[in-house]
Amino acid sequence: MKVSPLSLIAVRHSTKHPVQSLLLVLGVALGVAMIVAIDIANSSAGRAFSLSTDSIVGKATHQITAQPGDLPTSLYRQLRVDLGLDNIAPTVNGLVLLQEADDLPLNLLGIDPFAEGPFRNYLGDSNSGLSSDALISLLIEPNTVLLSQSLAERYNLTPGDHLTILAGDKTKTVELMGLLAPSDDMSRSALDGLILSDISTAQEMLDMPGAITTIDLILPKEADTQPIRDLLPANAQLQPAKLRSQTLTQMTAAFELNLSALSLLALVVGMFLIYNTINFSVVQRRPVLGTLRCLGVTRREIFGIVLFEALALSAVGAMIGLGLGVLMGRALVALVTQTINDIFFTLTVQSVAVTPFTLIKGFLAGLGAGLFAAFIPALEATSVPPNSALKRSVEEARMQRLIPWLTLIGLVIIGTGWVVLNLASNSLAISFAGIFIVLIGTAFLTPLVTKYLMRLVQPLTRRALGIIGAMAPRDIIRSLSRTSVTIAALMLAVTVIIGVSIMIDSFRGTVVTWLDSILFADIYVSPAGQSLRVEGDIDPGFIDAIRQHEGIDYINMLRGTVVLDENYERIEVRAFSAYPDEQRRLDSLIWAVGPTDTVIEAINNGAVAISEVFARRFNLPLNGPSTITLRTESGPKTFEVVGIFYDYALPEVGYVYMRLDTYRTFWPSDTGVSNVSLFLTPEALPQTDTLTRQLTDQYAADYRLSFSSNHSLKANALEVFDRTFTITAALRLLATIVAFIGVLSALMSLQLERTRELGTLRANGMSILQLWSKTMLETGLMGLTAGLMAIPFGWALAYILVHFINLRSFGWSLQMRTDPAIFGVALIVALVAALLAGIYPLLRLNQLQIATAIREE
Amino acid sequence: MRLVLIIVALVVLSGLVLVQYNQVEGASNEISANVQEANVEAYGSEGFAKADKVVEFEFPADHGPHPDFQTEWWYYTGNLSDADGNRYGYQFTIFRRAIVPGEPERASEWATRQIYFAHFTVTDATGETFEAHERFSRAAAGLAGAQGLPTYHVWLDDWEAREIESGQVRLQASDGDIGIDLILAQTKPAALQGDHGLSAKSDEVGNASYYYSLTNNTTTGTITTPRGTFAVTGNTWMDREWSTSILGKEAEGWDWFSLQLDDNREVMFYFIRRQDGSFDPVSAGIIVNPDGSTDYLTLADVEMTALDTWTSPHTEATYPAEWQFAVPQAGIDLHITPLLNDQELNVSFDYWEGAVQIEGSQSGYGYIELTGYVGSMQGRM
Repeated sequence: MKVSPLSLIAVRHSTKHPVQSLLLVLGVALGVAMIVAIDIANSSAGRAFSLSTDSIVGKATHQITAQPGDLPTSLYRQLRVDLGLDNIAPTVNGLVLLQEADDLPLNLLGIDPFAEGPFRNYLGDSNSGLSSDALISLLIEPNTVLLSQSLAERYNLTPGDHLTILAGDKTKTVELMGLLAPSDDMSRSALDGLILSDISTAQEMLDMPGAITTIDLILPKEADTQPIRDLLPANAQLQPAKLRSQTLTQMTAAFELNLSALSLLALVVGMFLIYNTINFSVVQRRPVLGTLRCLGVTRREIFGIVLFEALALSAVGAMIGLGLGVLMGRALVALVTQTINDIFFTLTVQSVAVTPFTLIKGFLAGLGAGLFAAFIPALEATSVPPNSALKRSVEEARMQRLIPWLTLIGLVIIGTGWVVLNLASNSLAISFAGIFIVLIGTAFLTPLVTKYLMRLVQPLTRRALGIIGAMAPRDIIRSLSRTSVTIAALMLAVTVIIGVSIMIDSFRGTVVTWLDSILFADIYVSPAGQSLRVEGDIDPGFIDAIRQHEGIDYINMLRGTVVLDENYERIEVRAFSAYPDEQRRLDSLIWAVGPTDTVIEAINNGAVAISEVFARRFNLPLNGPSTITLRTESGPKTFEVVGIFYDYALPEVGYVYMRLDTYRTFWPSDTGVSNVSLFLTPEALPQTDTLTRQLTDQYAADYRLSFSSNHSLKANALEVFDRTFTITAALRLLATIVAFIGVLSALMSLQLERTRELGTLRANGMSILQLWSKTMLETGLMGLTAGLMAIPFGWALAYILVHFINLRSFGWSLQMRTDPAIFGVALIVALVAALLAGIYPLLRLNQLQIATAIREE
Repeated sequence: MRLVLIIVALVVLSGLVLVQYNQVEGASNEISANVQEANVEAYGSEGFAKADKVVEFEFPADHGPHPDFQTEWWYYTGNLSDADGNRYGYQFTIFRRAIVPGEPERASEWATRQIYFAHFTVTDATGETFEAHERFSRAAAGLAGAQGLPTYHVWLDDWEAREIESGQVRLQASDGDIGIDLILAQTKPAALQGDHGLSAKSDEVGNASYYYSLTNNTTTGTITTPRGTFAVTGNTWMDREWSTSILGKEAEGWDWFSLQLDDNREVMFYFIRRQDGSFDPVSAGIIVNPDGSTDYLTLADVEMTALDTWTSPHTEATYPAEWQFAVPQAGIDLHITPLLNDQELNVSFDYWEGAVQIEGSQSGYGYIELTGYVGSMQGRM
């Protein structure tokens, strides 16, 4: 096939219709940009994530810890020298306060630099700005430490400074040997909570000679751990590290998949746009194509011209999309990171990773979408008979005949999607595929809905606007092959807006209710620095003191800790002392397994309740009693599970709720208290904030505690929640923009295609104003159709997101709640988008030369 | 004598931690960069003893560590063969390096002023594989160390050389696809290098090391290569050296030969290569006779010509790869070829150390060490 002269035709056509070409290019560009941007954001975050887990969790597959107490150093020597394990690393760590940093609580982490390599690489960075001398000094000089550069700068500390740290009840002086200034891809924030020292120094600071805190191990997949277990002292456990790191990986994977799905959605909307534009350009060129066929150009060549045109424009669009995507990606990285920080763990992304793979993928997606969308119009072009152009009316008549079939196909597709969703069980990717199938299915219903809706409104518009009102709906029906595609694109965009909004609202509403129930006390007391995930205890002296404090009616104690189950899995336990009004609080949370008062009665007598996520994790029944076996200090003990409750903390992990007395009965050596919550007397209640400040002044420094009032905790939690969904909102906006441009181009095509028709109308005496009204009415009606369709579909999407995606991503059930206002907003968005999109063609209409327009009539 | 190792030790240790981590990252260019940036001035050799007079060695005590000196090593290289005649070589070296003199007086059992590190390689001539591993450890908490009395033992993690009975040492090491479990039986007394074991490095007094060699140790056991584990026999050369000294400024690198000949003699010679291409006159060596007596060799006593070169695909450095080596006065004229060309260690420091085959007036096997070919050694200092 000699493409060159023929492809010139395509090129000429494109250059002669710059606006159409521009719209096509823009559609592809935006779709590609979304894909590239989200890919960049995800991969940058993912890269930073793996680096940061390297620095926090390390790459350990297993960890040996002791509870209670420490591990003997000799255990480490036995493992390394006698058993010959080489990928193991010891740490000594504990909480200290740094006086020069306003008593900032920091985790003093003592490491053996020679063993650390495979595990954490804070020091691995050649640009860390740390001299080798500083590292050697750290190793051999006593009382030497490293801090992160950002931390040092914040408190104006420089290498050589002597620092005072409070460890336990002792004050020690250390020398700051150097600063860790990780280059871009290291996790600064992970280091910000650390004082790093050699393991010998940490031991001396924390006064634990002969002892170490943890041993991290990297073991081969099928390694026999029995020789290791044989060496462990009674208080030590060997546990897989997977609960810490793998769960985190899975969680972010779910999150990233969510984002990728949104970006694909943008491309789908973009494809509608391309389809529309190419289709229009084919229709517009019917005479030319007919003439070409007369001149002996074959169907194959015509097909080639159209595809070539689509391919060329898509390539331009894809290139622009790559550039745009990289720019957008940089912005998105910050949002993605913020979300990950809020829900999962601290992560700092300093570098934006743009891989060739990302770019190639984006480019191919753009070309592919262009080709795919152009395929049908290209086929259509080949059907142009040689003698003359196929009459538009013929095509529309065919469209009318197709409507029942399209509807049927749509219903079948939706049904298939629904089946896929239900079969997907726990696979997120398949669930998303299900969503896409359902959404595409809904698009096929557009012609039918549009047709009947227009018939419905026609009497109304006719009564209101007379002849114009009668014409507009009919026009839409008569050109369904064009209008329905436009409406479908707009409908999909609005559906996504509604669906995502309802999902976020439901999520937020559920979390608010949950916070109200779970935050039952007035003031919360926790050890300072608990955010560092360092286990801390509250001094018993404080508990005695606070009981006597004026204004305190009642105190509740919580022990949050980790125990092992029969299979040595780590089980989070929250042991609460009884508190007033417990029944009312639990009423809203607990479901299944009997009435709340009997549940509380049973819990008082040693039974436990489990969170929904916990139940799902261990496949325990959600609607009946069950048991769990935990390793207590006196051996395995089976606990009766009498209740299951909603909980939105600890995604994918969940916890066991028991009475503090029960916990202390079975784990007598652990008498610690992790948190205390204070219930105020009715008189003191209005002064909660004052009292919180007063308690902070009185106790915070002595006992190293932090105090927060109920409402400030709640506000913090919700602030975090809202930040979490910033990215979703941003993507929603982008999808809307793509849809808007799609609609704009579709409407423009529609109006441009009608130039002759409009010219005829003008020639027959229709005023400009009437033309305006007719056009605006048409676009308005299209917007309305899209908006109305989007309401049920949007709700259905929300239903799927809540009941399938969220449950599968996080294990959380959410209460669906629908604010009717969102439907109004969506309708307005659809209408405004449609009306705005009608303006440009109308402006062109003003310059319409009647004579030119109808020259051929 | 292994002058090279002084440099290796200094360079490696000065950039130790950085190097260690970058090795994990596998970025060899960054290693060089870091090594070059490394500043060794802060911890010098102040306070350490110097090898400035002849002393009488006592065994097994002197097999153990000499903590008053800054640098020390236990250096095993051996050539082995299995029942089918397949040839193998191995290198197993443990280095001790003190950063500051004296024992730390601290509460923590992790406290240390010394570091141990080790290199372990296996050459499989039939499988044409060469694999090298490196480990580091602090000399504390029982993780690495050495002792001469009551019995000789030197170890780093589970890599160790341990005296199992008088005159017999068991070597055990494994990592990756390679491993050794060998028993070495000493057949000749310790050959004292230089002046009764005091091996001068330059004209300056004290710029020297204590150095002896066990040049002939019959070896039996197993060796593991990527092809499998094989029962082997052969012979091992062991070098012991301790010092507190620095190399002359003009040296660029070293070519070190240890040759075990079939007439029951062993030859050691080291050539110090200077920047101008000539050999430093302090280059020296010995011949160990069948009865264990030794003859001292100077540069004038030997003739050495490189017959071929090999360019490393890892570092692009060009090494000599085939030699003519002669000591006319001793009736020795040898043609030496490596078992494999690629016996380059790309550990924290790149050098070539490999098993060689000897033909000519005598036949046999040996080990050759080539350093300073990956950029100048001086540039790294």
